[in-house]
Amino acid sequence: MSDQTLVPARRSARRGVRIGPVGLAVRPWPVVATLLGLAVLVVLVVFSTVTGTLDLPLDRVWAALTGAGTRIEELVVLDRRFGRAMVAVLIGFALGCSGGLTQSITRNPIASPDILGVSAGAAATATFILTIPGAVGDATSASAVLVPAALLGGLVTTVLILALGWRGGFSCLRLILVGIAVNALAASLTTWLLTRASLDSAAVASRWLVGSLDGVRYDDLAWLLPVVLVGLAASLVLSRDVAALRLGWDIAGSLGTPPGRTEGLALAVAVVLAATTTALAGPIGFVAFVAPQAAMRLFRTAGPPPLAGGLVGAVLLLAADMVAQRLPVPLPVGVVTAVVGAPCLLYLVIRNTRRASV
Amino acid sequence: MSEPVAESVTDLVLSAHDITVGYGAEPVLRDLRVDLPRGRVTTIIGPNGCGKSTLVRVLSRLLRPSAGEVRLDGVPLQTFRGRQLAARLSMLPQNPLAPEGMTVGDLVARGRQPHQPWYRQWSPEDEEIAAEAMRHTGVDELAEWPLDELSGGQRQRAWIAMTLAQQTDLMILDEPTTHLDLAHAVEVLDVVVGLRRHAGKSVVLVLHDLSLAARYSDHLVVLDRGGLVVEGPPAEVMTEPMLASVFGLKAHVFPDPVAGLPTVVPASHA
Repeated sequence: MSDQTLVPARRSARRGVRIGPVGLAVRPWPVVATLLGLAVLVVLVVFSTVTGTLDLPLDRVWAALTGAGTRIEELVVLDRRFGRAMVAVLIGFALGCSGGLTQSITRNPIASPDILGVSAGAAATATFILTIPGAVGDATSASAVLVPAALLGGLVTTVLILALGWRGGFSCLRLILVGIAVNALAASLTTWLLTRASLDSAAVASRWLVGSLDGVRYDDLAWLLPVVLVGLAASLVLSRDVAALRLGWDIAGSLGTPPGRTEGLALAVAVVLAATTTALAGPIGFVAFVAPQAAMRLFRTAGPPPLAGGLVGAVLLLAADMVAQRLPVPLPVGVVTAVVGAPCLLYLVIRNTRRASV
Repeated sequence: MSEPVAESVTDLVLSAHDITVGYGAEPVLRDLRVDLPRGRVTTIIGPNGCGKSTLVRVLSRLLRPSAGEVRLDGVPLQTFRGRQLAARLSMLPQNPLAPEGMTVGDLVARGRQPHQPWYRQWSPEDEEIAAEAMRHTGVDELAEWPLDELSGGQRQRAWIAMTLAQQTDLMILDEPTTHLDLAHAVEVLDVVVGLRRHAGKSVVLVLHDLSLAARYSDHLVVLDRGGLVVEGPPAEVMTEPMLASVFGLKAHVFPDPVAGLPTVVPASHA
C-alpha cells in the first residue's frame, strides 16, 4: 500500500462570497479564464466585423452598424460579417455546452452529440425536408421547417443510441462503436435521399451537410438566441446536480439529487442545442466534442464544464470560421473543425485505451 | 459496547420489513427483515454474493425493493424528499470514483449539498464543517490535492470525509476499509465508531474482515444467499459453527486477551 507516500501539505483554500442568503464558492483561476475567454471572443467579433474581402474603412463599418450606411454596406457588415460572427458564437456555445452536458452525465469524453451521431441523425431528417421539392420555400422560412425536422431526427437518434449503447453504464469502446454505426446509418440515409433529389436541392443540401456558416443570416439569430438562452439557463440550474452525477449514480442519489431526472433533463437540453445548430448550419463536427475537453483543461475543473465548454466552443467556432473564410480557397467551417478535432479524438481514444490496459 | 442492544421499536433507526429484491426462484434478497438499533454500530457480514451491497442500496433508497418496506425513524423511506433524506442518511458505496482533477477539498465540500439551497452553495459554516471532517479523517493537509494523485488509502479517507461532512444521524458505509492497510483501516473505523460514541450517530457498515467486524460493532447481521441467518451482539453471533455453516470457513474463535471480544483465526491445513 502506497499510503505512506509523503506529499507536501496543501491545505484548503476554498474561498467564497456571501451576499445575504446567496453564497458561491469562488476560485480565482476559472474567473480569470472566463474573463480572458470573453475578451478573446470580443476581439474576434470586432476583428471579423471590421475586416473582410470588401475593403471598408472603419467609419463606414460604424455607419453600417448604426444604420447610417448604404444598403450594400449594411448587407456586408450586418449580415455577412457581424451577423455571421454572432451566429458562429451562438452555435459554438450551443455545441460546446451540449457536449459538456453529455460528457458529464455519461462520465465519458467520447459521448458528445457529434461523435455519437446525434448531429448526423438530425442532418438526415433535415436533408429529407430539404430534398422534398417545395417543402422549403424561400430562405427566410427555411429555419421554421428545418429546426423541428432536425429536432425530431436528433431525438430519434438519441433514443437509438441509448437503446444500443446503454448496458448499465456507457463504456468508451461501446459508445465509439455505436457512434460509428449510427453515423454510418444516418450518412447512408442522407446519401440515399440525395440521390433521389433534384440537382438543385441536392446541391444546396450537400453544401449544408458539410457544416457551413455560408448560408446563415442575421435573421437566424431569432432562432438561435432563445434556444441558447434556454440552454444557458438549464445548464445553470442543472449545474450542481450534474456535478453530483460526475461522482457516480449512487453518490448523486445519496447526496439527495435525483440522478435519473438529472440525466434525462441534461440529455434533452443537449439534444435540443445540438439539433438546432444542425438545422441552421449543418452538422459541424468536433466542436461539441473538443470544446468541453479543452475547457476542462483550461479552466482546471473536475469534469467537462457545460458553460465553460460553451465559451470555448464559441471562441473555437468563430476562429475556425474566420480561418475558413480567409483561406486562399474558402472552405466550409466543418472542414476546419474536423482538421482540428480529429487528432484530439485520436489522442483521447489512445489515452483512454492506455488507462484501461494499465 | 457492553450495554444491551435496544429492543423496542422506537430505538430502531432503520428497519426493513420483508424485503425482496429480484424475482423468480432465486431473488437477490428474500423476505428479509432487519432492524438496526439507534446510536449503535451495526455491521453486515456474509460471504461474497450474499446480497450485502444490495441490502445496503435498499436501506439507502438507491434501489427499490420489489416487495417490502424500509422505515427510517418509523417513517417509510419513500415519503422523504431527496435532500430531506440525504440530510438524515448518508451512504458511501463501494469503490467510488471521482472525476479526474477533482481536489480533496472540493470533494468533501460536496457533502454539504443536502444542506444547501441552490442559491447558497458556499458559506463559512459549510467550509468549517468540511474542514472539520477533513481533520477527523486526517486529510486536511491534502485539501488542495487532486484525488487521482493520491494513494488508495488517502482517497478512501477523503470519501469518508465527504460522508462525514453530510452530518447525518445515520451513516451507511459499504466496505469503507477496502484499499486500506490494517493501520489505516483501524484509523478509519476509530473515526467512524468515535462518532457513534461522541455524537450518538448510528452507523451501518459492510466489512469483510471478521475480526474487525467483531471489534467495532455493537450489532452483527449475518446474511447468506439473500436471507438473514442470525443477528445480535458479536459475542453471540461470531461462533465457530456460524463461520463453518455460513462462510464454509474452519476457524477458531476465542476472546482476545485485552477486550475479550471474539477474534477469528482461520484453521490452516498447510
